[in-house]
Amino acid sequence: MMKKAIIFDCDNTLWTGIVGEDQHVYGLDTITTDIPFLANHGVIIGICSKNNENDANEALMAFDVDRYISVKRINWKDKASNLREIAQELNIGLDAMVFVDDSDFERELVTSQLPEVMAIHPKDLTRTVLENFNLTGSILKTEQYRANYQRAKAQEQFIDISEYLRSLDMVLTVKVNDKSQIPRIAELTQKTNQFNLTTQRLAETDIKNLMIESKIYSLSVRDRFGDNGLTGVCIIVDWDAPLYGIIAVFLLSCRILGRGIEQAFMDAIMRDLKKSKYTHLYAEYIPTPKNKQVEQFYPSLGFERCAGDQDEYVYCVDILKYEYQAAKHFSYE
Amino acid sequence: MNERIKEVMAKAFGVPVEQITEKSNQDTIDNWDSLRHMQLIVFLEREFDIIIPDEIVGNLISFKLIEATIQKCHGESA
Repeated sequence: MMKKAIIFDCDNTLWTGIVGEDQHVYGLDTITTDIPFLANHGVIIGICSKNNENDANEALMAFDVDRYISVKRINWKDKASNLREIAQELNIGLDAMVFVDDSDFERELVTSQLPEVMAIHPKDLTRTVLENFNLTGSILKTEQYRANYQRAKAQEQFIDISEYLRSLDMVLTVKVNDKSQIPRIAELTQKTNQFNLTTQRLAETDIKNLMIESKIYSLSVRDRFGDNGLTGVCIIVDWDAPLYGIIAVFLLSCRILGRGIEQAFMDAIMRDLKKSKYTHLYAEYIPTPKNKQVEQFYPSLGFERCAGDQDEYVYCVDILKYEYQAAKHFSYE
Repeated sequence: MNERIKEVMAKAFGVPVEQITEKSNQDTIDNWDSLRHMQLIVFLEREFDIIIPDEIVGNLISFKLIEATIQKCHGESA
């Protein structure tokens, strides 16, 4: 079966670094050379990536490849659903698609859900093209597909990925006020833009001081592909009355999103807080241009919106009534 | 190996070897027509002692694809 389309991930597949997180990203051969070349020789090019849509689109424009791209799914949904939509939109079979992603996690997810799709690492791109495509000398075919490009959203596909997540053997380690982690915690508050509810930038001295009277939770995640290290931070401080706490910081590095880890982290924190002096936990979402994806985070966990102006998003939950969210595919340490 | 590929390409397309880079492809080399393409295939087979399968002959239209072909052919015969 000859392949027709190549669907690319973005961060660390088309460029080094993460748009929206890093100040600069640097184009790899895939975007500077391969995409224009392949599109000119009859290969349909698509994008399937977990990014803020605006950030990724800006980068694609900056690298001047937008005109070669026939289809895009830039969102936070799982990539298997997105690839199904892409196949429908292009009206080609899943077995006519190659998916290129540097992440072992994403490739394995796609292979487990959609075995017809050939999922490869970027380093194997040239060899894959050589053996699985009929390159042409004409740009006509891409133009045809572009003309048919339907922006209407394909029907939402539901795919059960919980089984896959269970197979990952994810282990979460949550620590409280671990002084050895101060530099990494400060770094995450400085760098994280997307999954960051309040975007408070804190220095190492701030973290050190907060550890004296407040609770700083850190989250480390490992799975059977390896150790992702310290990738989540939550800071809880006293608010108003001493029995009320507020989440001053809640953030996760974007490379571990989409696996239910954010809910599992909150569960672990709540389990600990049930033993603390607090009765109620408040939380705030402060919108920025980069963090729209977490807009519904607290409501989705059962936090209720309380007092606040129209453009203030303050939520509250009764700690004893909090319902644990996460699926059972995690173990904790 | 890269230098040998560049020399073969330069000879096949009749251009100075300095003009060939690892990013060269059919779009960057004006002389790359179908006649010279077949010449390239013959030169590559001779220079690297390989037989390029018919089904991929049409795909050898960039430096990188040529390099991958030689690696593939050497890998499979070894």
